[in-house]
Amino acid sequence: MSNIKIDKTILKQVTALPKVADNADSPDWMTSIQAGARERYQSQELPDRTLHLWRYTDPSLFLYSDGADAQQNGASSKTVSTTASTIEPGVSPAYDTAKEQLAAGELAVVALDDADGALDIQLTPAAKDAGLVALPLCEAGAKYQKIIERHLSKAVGAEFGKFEALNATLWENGIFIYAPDNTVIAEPIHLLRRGSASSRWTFPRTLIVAGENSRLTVVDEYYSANDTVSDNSNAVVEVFGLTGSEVEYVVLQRNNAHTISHFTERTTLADNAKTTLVAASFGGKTHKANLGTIMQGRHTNSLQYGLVFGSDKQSFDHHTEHINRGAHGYSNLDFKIVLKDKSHSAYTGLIRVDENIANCEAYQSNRNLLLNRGAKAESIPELEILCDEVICTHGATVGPIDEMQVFYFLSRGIPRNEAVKMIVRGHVEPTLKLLPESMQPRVRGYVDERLETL
Amino acid sequence: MSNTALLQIKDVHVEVEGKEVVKGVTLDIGKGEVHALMGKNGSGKSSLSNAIMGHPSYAITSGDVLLDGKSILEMAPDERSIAGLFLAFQYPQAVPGVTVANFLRSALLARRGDEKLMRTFRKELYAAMDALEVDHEFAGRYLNDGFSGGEKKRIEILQLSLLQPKLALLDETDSGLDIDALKTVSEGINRYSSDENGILLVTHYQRILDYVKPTKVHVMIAGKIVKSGGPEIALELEKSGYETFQSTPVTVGA
Ligand SMILES: Nc1ncnc2c1ncn2[C@@H]1O[C@H](COP(=O)(O)OP(=O)(O)O)[C@@H](O)[C@H]1O
Ligand SMILES: [Mg+2]
Repeated sequence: MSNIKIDKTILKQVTALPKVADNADSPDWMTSIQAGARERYQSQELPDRTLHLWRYTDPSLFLYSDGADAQQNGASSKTVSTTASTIEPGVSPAYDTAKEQLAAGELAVVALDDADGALDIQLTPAAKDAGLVALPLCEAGAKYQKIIERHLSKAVGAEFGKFEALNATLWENGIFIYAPDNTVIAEPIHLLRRGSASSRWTFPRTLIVAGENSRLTVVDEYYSANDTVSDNSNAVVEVFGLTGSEVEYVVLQRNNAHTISHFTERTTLADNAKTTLVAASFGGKTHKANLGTIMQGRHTNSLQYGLVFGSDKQSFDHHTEHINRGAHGYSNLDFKIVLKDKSHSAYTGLIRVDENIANCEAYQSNRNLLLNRGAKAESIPELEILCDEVICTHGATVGPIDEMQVFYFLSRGIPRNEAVKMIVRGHVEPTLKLLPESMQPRVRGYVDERLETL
Repeated sequence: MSNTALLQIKDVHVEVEGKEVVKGVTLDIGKGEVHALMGKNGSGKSSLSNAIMGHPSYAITSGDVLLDGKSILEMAPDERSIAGLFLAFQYPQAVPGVTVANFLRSALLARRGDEKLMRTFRKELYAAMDALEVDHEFAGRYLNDGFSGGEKKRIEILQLSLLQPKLALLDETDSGLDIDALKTVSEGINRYSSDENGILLVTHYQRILDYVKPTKVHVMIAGKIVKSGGPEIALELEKSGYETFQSTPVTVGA
């Protein structure tokens, strides 16, 4: 299984790669970054499957392909609008709900990134008045050139990896969220990334910059255009928490059962910055996610939470990183995985503490619940602690539901089936509780849906 | 003495991990009776209680257990519970993510079978909590998750008082309780106790028997009941320890 064959069709696909995405409003400097990334993508070999991050998922799945009905890829002339929406009510319930919540003032921003239509970004007047910026990335390139140049591709650039280079080449409908210094936005910013109904690859990109002492919550939701397409995606998210800022970033992936997705996220924290990441993965045929926080400053605080629920033959591959480069950093990770049917999950979690970092704490826990025999999970903690003054713990469990817990429920008259459901719900509940309240019932529903057919 | 005792334990043998730890126990508990089962650590008290409740690790290899005259051995633990059996665990399980309220709500719903009958649940729960001096905040806490030993025992008795079983097996409910907590919990047990139900109070101290008065006391050693009698046996134990019973041949009184 170490080296996969690269067949000719794949080589053809590589040559068919468009120059760069045609983002009409992109300034030249942005387009030239994209052109550079294109070179990177083409010159990099396919990752070796013996390399640790590629042991669990075949990299050739993520190669660029311009399949039959995908000619428009990267050459689409997207209309970018910040006013009108192209999706009719009823087509995307998530979007309808988000707009209602926006109208009710429960959300600060709703952005619909529809692969087949416009990028539609709406802010509440209050969010605008507070100074929050939410713009298409290419359009923002001119107005916020300094900030964007300083951050775009700095945490996840073309050199990050072959598929990150692919995103850097072909991203379209990028979204730029910027909270200027001292801006506090209590309501969540909800980004909806809808795949393409014509089964082509999409390359969503997000840049979030939280200014000094600012606060914001971003929900980034990825979903399929319908139940039958293979609307694959390769997404990159960069979050920068400047001094004293607090960012909660939630990524919810609920693609349909045919979709392949590749997702890379990095958060970089300056002094006294805090972040909470919640990654909830429910959908897709194959989902590979790489999530990480670089604790660059001193006294940073990073919490990462994961919630994965696999069913049928789904395959999940999650990697997390906590890279501690500043003194007095605190990090905690809690990744909860539930698998049923023949689903599979691999989780690798890296904690790295650089040399001469004083007083840092790093905790990591990964629990995998297997609801039947066919489900499989692997859990691999990776510690690279290069200094002494560290408190670090990690734990991983893989196994079926605790029969002792089940017996406790039975002894109170609660039937087995209900007991199992309650225990699984309980397993994920502490993570669900971290989601913005308005979202919790819906995500609880995704858990219940999967429990219904136990 | 009648064979319509609430709980009849008939020559029960229990095996755990292939080892016989209960070696033929016979015991009848009638309505309105409180039986104390006393014995040193490791004598098989919990094994007997768990086996009666249907714990998967404790197999009843021979003998029979009847509740209301009907054998329960073929019943799953949840069916035994619905039939009126209850076990307050010596070491209650922690279940993170499931609140005390949610757990109890499900247990009551399993009995009442109708959401409509659950309308008064919060009121019932809070009343039961007040009686046991349990802060209402516990309703929203995850079941036994991070609870102290004493808090766990109170929550077990809270469950007893809400579920109102016919027969309660209380396994070392007194251990880990300070004197005030012991009083409160004992009062809870006494409030539950009635002419209609029965209690098997498992303990290795006679301390709780100052508060919950037993009608009968049984002494268990190495998987067997070696002596049965009135409350005076507990006092005797207190004075001279289990050693005096060691040599006594088995005398089983029902
Ligand atoms: N789950 C178990 N696995 C293995 N041995 C057990 C288990 N439970 C009880 N035992 C053994 O059975 C015997 C009786 O234990 P137990 O019923 O807990 O006694 P008591 O409750 O009287 O202290 C002891 O030897 C104990 O080690
Ligand atoms: Mg015991």
